Amino acid sequence: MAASPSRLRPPVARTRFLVWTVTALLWSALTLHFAHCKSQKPEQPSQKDAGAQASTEPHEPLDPGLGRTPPRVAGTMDVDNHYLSTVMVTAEAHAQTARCSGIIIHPRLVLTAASCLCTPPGATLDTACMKRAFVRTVRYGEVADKNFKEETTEKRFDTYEGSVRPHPEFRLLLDSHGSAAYEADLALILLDTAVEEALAPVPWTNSQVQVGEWLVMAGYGQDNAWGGSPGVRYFRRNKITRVPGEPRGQVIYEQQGAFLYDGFAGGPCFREAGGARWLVGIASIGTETALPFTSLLPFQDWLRAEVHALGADPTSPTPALGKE
Amino acid sequence: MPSLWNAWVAALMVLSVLWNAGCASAPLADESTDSSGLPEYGIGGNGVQEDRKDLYRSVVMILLPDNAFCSGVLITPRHVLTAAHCFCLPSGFETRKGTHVYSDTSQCTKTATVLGVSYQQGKDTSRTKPAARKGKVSIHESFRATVIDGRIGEQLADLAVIQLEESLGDINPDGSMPEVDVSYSEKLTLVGYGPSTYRGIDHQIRRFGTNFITKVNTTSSVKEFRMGPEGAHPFGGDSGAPCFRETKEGRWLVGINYGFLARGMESESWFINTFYFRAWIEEQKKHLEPN
Repeated sequence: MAASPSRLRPPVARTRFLVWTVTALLWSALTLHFAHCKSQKPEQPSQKDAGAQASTEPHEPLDPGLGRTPPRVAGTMDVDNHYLSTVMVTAEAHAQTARCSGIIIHPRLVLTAASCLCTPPGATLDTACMKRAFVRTVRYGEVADKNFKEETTEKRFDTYEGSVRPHPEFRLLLDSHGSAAYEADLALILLDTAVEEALAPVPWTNSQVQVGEWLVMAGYGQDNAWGGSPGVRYFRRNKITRVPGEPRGQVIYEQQGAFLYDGFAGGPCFREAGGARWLVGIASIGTETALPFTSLLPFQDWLRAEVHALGADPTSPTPALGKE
Repeated sequence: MPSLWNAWVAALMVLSVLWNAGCASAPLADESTDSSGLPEYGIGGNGVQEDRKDLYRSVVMILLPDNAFCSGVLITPRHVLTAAHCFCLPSGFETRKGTHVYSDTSQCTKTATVLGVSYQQGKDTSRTKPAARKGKVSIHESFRATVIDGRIGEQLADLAVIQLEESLGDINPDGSMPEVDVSYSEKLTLVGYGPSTYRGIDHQIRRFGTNFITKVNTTSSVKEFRMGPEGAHPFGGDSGAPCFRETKEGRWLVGINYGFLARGMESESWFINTFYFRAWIEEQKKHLEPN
């Protein structure tokens, strides 16, 4: 049955009527709504009768806004500049908090952890690293108040920029338990200009570390929850608990505190004896139970090649390779 | 035609939802424990910068017992204005349940260490040179804090002055008191040593930024103003941080931060309005006891 035109007209009219009615209703509803919102707002307190009013309307309690400086368990602050070659590694030129630490092994080379500057590479992913990074040396001067060394020590920062060169075999390994560990967690930052600080070269060790041996780690520690004082370099002694065969070069320290010091990653691990110091490895990113570092022994060929590539530069003597 | 009708029905439904949400007056779920919903522009985020040019050397850091710290401002070479609650809330107050009123100023910490920090930042080289001085704390006699489950319910006359044993070197004070009260939507500058995000870990760096007044609250006992979430926002460590009115004619100290509410787009920061405490502050400036 065909619909007659006369039967089509009323629904159109009805729809138009509905549209207008709904529009009118919506308009009045919206007007009412905004009036309702306005009336919900507390009146301007300046117009309030101040008379006997003891306080304002109740409000949600506020954060008091007191700050907390970080707990001092990262180690001893290096106010005497014994570990001046341990540097801050940052993504920005003026960053006062370290992304990681590193060590100057040549006036134009800073050794750090690849995991600081690169996204974790997996079986299917290529390594993606920051192309450029900043290195800041921090020299301490006068300590204004010995009770607050972190906050009151004069600090001189010198900033250098350089290109990131990760170890070509840097990757993430999963063991049979499913826990992850980095292999070849090393990267160099090739600085555009040589570091001006005159630093005594630190020899690399040629001998294996032992379980139970104490090493010194240095770095710009900052706590996950509390942060750290800007530009504060710590050193602390750590005991080796495990030297697993896999990944290559990995050594596990005893995790000394409940707090994790992120800023230590990339920082050096030294063997110290009779006033001498050897570079043993580079701290990796730790977990609450394990604090790993990467021994340099399996990666010496790569390091030597990188240093020797700069050998032509007369301002850059090759560091002596230590014998024990 | 039915599709047009359906569209109106849908529009009505959308509006009914908006009706309920539009006022945004209902408290949100507890965001204070979730940093993701919080503004990222603390004294250090968007539009906020480190004071590398030493524009605000008068703004100092105050070191307190229990690793606590606050911010403050030199109002003369020998006096620092800050918040009283930095000294008068007992150790561990944050974890104390229930409502507690603190008004006995004899219980407040009597001394503090004040740090003046010069940055002297160049392109590749910079120096952070702190000068430390000990000082004696005077609390405003009307100070009263009501703390509910470790958070601030009400704070009256939350002001303290530290008289330094000796001046902080060559730092010029910023102690000009305002001649006119603050007003709604006025743009002010905040300076402090708090982190750049709520519970951030990058504190102890002097940062500054601007924000606008969203509320001026003046009753017989309450003299405060508030700022909203749009601009610079104080966080932990910015208690006692100054708020300046800056014009071509100069810089006036109009507020002292005493707390904040970190709730996303409902965030607020609260300031003691120094305009109403001019007489007390001027009196404190004259007060110098021999060491």
